[in-house]
Amino acid sequence: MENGQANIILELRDVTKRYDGAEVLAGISLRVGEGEFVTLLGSSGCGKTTMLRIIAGLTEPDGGSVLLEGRDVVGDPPEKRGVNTVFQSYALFPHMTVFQNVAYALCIRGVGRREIEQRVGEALSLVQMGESGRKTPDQLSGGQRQRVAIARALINRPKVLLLDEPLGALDLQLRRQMQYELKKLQKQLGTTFIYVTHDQEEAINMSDRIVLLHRGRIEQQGTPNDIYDHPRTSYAAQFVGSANILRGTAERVEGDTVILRTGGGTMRCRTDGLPLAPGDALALAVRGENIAISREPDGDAGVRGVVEGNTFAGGMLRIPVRLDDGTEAVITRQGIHFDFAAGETVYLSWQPDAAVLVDRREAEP
Amino acid sequence: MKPRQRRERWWLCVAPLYLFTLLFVLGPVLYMIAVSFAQNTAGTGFRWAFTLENFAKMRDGVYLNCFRESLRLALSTTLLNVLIGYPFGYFMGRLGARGKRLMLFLVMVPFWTSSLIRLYGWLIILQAKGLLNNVLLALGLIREPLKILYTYPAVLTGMVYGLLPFMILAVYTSVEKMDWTLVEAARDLGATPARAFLTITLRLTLPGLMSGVILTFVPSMGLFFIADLLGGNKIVLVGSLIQDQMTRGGNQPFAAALALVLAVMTTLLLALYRRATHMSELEGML
Repeated sequence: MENGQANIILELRDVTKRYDGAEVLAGISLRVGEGEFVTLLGSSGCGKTTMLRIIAGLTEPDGGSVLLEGRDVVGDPPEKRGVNTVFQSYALFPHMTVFQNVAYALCIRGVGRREIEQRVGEALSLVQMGESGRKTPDQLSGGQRQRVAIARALINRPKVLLLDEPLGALDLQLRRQMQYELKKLQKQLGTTFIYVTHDQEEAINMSDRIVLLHRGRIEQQGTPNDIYDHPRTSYAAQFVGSANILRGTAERVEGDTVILRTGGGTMRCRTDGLPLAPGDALALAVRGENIAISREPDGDAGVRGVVEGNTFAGGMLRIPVRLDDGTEAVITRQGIHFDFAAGETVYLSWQPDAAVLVDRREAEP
Repeated sequence: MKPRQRRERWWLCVAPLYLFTLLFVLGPVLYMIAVSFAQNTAGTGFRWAFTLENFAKMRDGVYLNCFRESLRLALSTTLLNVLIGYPFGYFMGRLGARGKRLMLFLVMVPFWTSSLIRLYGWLIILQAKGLLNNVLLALGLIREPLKILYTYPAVLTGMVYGLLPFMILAVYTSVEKMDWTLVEAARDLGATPARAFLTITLRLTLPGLMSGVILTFVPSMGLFFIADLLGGNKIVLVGSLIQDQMTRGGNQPFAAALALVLAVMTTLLLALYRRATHMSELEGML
């Protein structure tokens, strides 16, 4: 949690939530600095949406506190919190025009007509929807509805804007464009964004900080680079950047490299200064793009496996290799050219620096 | 096959439906309109003619009063149905899946028996030595049996009872379709629960309420056997009058004229109502 000197605008302290006996949030503590773009990343059911709803006041936590600018708001109804939400389904009011949707919050507060017109106009042009005030939501495309939902949530100038998978319903191209625009908007306004997604790409592109959630706990948090390069757990390594997790036993340590023995050979991995002893059971994470493949072992480093085939997806060739100990490692390559045939025996190796030990430390409190 | 030919054949398939409708719905209505201008003769018959005397006859105070009573009863029935049926349908729509099934079942149960038989049930409950009076007496709330049966409240009770399921189901259907995220969004934007209800929930369930009003108002203008049974012969509605003229009175042209006026009046009121609710919808929230 390197928030530096920024003021803490939102803090969660040991927040817990159960639904029908199932633990959804198991004691979440989190601090968010003013103006920060924080992404809650995780697969479905990890508790990320529940966390957002608890901050918004749409769900009450079972325990713990939620502090907005230092004040505990648990128990306060959503209308008294000063945070606003962009809902996954946009939740635009179908019986109102775009203008009325965006003006809703101001009407509720009894703002004068002239100010309403001015501020709604500003908000709509901020999201490039200035011309569409008279349209109704069903006349808009998905991307346009998204923009209106953002304008509507920003009109009250919230301290914190909560976004629940806002780009989930858009096609890939539009999603990429909106990622860029949202990030720009956030910078421009300086509003704190808490963004929920299950898409690691979105999280990496937009966030100042990623909070990776797994089974109601914070698995790891840090900058996108930090999590990508230094995943602490096998889950984090697999979820962010889809790394391979390989297991072995420590044989010896050479400087800051550990040599591991496994069924099909030996593997090398950087130690990051962790205290290790020969015989330790270890897991390492290594990304498919960093794995070299050859027909002959490279000295004493290399694990043996059998090529199982290859598939081309998203501009990348994915080559699954079944290792001697039964693990499947997936190697990735740019382009579509690959010299090895299915069924061929190969040796995999990598630079020690490209592999990182995981599951050796407790997740950050 | 050319698309055009196909379309022609498609028409052949639905033609019987239109024919049936024309013959058995439009036909009787046209016949009724024709008869309303005919001349009554002694006995049960009539003579084809073009006379307005059947309509002129309605200016009599007795008949005008029937219309007034019918309208008053229909309006109060509808109003009570709105006041009871909307909250009922609303909370029903917010129940869990099991609760919904159970409530739906309970609302539908009355449809399994004849409404006439169910009215006799009310007769037993409301009569001087009936269930209601016995309970009230036993509780010491009253000293003498109340005279409820054959009064206006008894008729109103019967009417509301008979038509309430339609209102409940109409409201329930629209509440069921509600996207409750919209209410959450309203709260998120600063609306109190009451404000969110008025600006979002009520607005979006208005179509259900409107069809509920139509479903209860239209039949309540014509229903006569409830008033006959629970009101004795004290409250004479247009419906009873038409029935009476058709049968005992033996004046078919007058009955037809009464029916025509009732139908036109109901249609006009509905048009007025549609217009009024539509106008308020156009105004929006601003």
